[in-house]
Amino acid sequence: MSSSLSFESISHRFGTEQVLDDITLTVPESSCVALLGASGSGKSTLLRIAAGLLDPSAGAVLIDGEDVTALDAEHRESGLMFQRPLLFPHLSVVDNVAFAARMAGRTKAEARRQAREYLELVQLGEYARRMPGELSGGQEQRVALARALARQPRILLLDEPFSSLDLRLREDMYDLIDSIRDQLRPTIVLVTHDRREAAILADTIAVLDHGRILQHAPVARIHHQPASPAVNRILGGLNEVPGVVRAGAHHSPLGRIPVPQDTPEGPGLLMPRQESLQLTTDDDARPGARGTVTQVRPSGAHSLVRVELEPGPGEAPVTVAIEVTGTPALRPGDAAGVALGGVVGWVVPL
Amino acid sequence: MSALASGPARMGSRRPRAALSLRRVLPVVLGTALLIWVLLPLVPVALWSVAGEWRAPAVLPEAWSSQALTTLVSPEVLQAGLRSAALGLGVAVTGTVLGALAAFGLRQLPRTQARILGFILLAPLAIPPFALVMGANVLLLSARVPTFAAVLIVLTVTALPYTAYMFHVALASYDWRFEEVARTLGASPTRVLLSVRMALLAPAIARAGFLAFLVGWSDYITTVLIGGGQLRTLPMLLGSAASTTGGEQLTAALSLAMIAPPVILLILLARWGQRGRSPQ
Amino acid sequence: MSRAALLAAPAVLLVVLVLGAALLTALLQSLGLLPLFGEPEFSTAAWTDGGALVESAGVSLYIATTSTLLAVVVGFLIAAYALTAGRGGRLIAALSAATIPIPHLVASGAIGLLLTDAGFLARLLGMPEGFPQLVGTDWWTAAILEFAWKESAFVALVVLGGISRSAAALSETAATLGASARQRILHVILPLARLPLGVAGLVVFVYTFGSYEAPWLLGPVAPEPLSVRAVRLFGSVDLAARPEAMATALTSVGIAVAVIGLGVLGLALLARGSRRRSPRRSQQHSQLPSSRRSGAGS
Repeated sequence: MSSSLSFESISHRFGTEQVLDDITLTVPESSCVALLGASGSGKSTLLRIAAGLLDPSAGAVLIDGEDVTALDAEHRESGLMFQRPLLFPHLSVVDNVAFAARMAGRTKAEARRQAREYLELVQLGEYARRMPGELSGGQEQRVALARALARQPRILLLDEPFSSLDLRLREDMYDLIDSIRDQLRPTIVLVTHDRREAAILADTIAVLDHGRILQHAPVARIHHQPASPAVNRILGGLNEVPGVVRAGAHHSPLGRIPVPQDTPEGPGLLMPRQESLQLTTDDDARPGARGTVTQVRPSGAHSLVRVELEPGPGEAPVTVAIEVTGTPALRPGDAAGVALGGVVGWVVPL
Repeated sequence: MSALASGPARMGSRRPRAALSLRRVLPVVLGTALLIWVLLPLVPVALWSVAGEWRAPAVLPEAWSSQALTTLVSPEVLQAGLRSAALGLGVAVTGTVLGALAAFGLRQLPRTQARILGFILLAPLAIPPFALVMGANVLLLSARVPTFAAVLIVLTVTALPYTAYMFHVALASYDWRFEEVARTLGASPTRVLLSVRMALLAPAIARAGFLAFLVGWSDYITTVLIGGGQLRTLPMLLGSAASTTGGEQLTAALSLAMIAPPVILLILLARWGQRGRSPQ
Repeated sequence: MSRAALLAAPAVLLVVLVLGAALLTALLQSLGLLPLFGEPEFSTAAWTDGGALVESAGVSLYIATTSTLLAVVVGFLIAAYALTAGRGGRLIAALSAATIPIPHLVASGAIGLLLTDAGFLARLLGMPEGFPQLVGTDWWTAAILEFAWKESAFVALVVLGGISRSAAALSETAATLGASARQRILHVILPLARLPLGVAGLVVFVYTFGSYEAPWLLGPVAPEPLSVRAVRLFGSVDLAARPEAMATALTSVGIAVAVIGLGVLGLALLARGSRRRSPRRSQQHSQLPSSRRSGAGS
């Protein structure tokens, strides 16, 4: 039931405001792409354009290479799920899921039989006869998912589908999406502002900011090799260390960090993830930098330690954040060593 | 789950072009029909008000004239307008104040008592206005209540269900914690009443006041039955013009005079209401 | 007396006094016990001379029923169009709402100018031979159209106020599930609008049932609806007409109260149906056993 989806040079304005600016993006068959961005980045607008609820000012939407831009939402065969479940309050759970089949002219019995299969899929088979008001928030969202799947959409569009659920319910929904991807292999576009959710659910992440795609890359790569400081920040990266690339390494207060061969020489911004940096002790053999602790912020099982590094000659002082397990016995003012653990540095030319 | 994956064929196959054009035309037809429905009755009013001579079968007036509109500024019409405005404002003030007080009182009463009193306040809605006026007339006459006051009293009773209900609805979503916050910020109970409660309920006050004003401004039957033709308001003039043959111009002009003030008031209230809203 | 009761007292007492006095006076006068002049004398003549009263009640019910049906249908169309037709729909809804402050007396005059024999509509159509008589006919066409015109705007306003918040999003959801515009109106907007339509319909029925201006200006001389008959008898120089006027008025009150009773009962049943459906905003954890939850992946 899956198809590929492409946006070709999609632009959209509301009045004088340019909401989307020349978006080109391909979502391969059976893959899951997350559109990650803050509110106002245009990600929901792009999803509404994909669903056919909104005509773009310019550009085309292709499904399996076929231009569907002029096709209304009801003919586009895309399933859309919003943050609110939006179950029809006058229909029972099973009739909500059977809605698409009924609209397509199926008999009530046939539509319900098929709907029950999808309710089983989201593990709510025994809730079929209830009314939407008798479900909890998480159950309502499962029914909404079953309803979208029962349309047998060529593309499944999810607009912040789990943001209103609490953490535990969200984890359950992630498991459910995993199992549905295993069984039905739908093509999914997920809009979210939650980078963790994007990382868990998606194969690739497209970072949207002010109506432009800043970078589209597989999850691991976009975290460790962001195309710009903006992408780094949107994905939660806290560190930007200015320095100079010379002879296959980045030189900065953080020391000499090896970088990929093709990194251009000259001034560059090193962006090590706070998870990749480590605190070192005096007897540590690894090369590293020295500095002074400025802040220790515990957050449960982890702590974030900020260290102001000692600048070398001609360098400006720079502060880096390091995520460590537990709560270290450090206070502001203590001396500390910092090293990049085991990975190659990633540099964006300045 | 294999049945799912193979599933029935895709739904919503693409429609042929002919059906597509019908789909585009039908909304336009419906929209045009609704637009005609809403606006058509007002067209002859607008045309007649500026028509000089307009005999059938001419679709448009043969001669234009400002005569009907000039009669609107004659002393008789102006006085009638003032009486109607006074009646409208009178009902607006008494109806809104009494309705607001009642709604506040009802909120603090035990459930059963509040239900019974609320039921009584809504009761005038169930009584056809002419029946209410005919019965009340005898009492008001024997109590020697002046005509204007008698009309005002009966119309206030007619308006009370609307105003009380408006405030009931507004209070249902009113967050009393605003007042608690204001008190902890040092506002006296009087200040809270004026600067917090009145301000937050301003939209409800405006809505209730507007409805009550309409009751007084546009009343015909109460004024006719109690005033017996003595209290000449705008609706009285319009009623006699509309029931006379050959009074088309005057009917149209008086109609405009009756429509304009509430519509202007409504636009002003809408403007004022939008000002306070966040741009969303 | 508590402070709360004191606050409610002026409004409640005013209503009780005026309403109570009105009904009591009407009852006494209809039975000849409170004549304007002369000695009270008990008589049920005003009630038992029932032919005219029944006929008037029939006319009133006919006008109110047809007007209400028309207003509900057109009002729903306006609301549905406003919810599905984008900017054009919102424009029509706004224009329609703007007609609400127009008094019925003005609307009756306007409908008269539009629909009389040589009125604006006949002229627009080129004065055709077979143009039907609409004003002053036994079918009350003009009066019914006046009510339908004014009250359809009210119905649309009530429906839009009641459901516009939920209907827009649900209608979009239905579109992504393959529902055409017609299907969205029939299967989403109409079921959502049932309760507001019922409430608005009841209000319109009671209002048109007791309304005077339109039938007086646009109806035939005879037969009369209750309102026109009562007002005519009330103003009659023949003082003997007073009991009949009051009996007519009380008949209208009785029917209105009965209709409201039935209507409220019907609406309560309708609301009970939808209360079961009203979404509860609680967020509980899924009550599924975890074994079933993890079983989905297999």
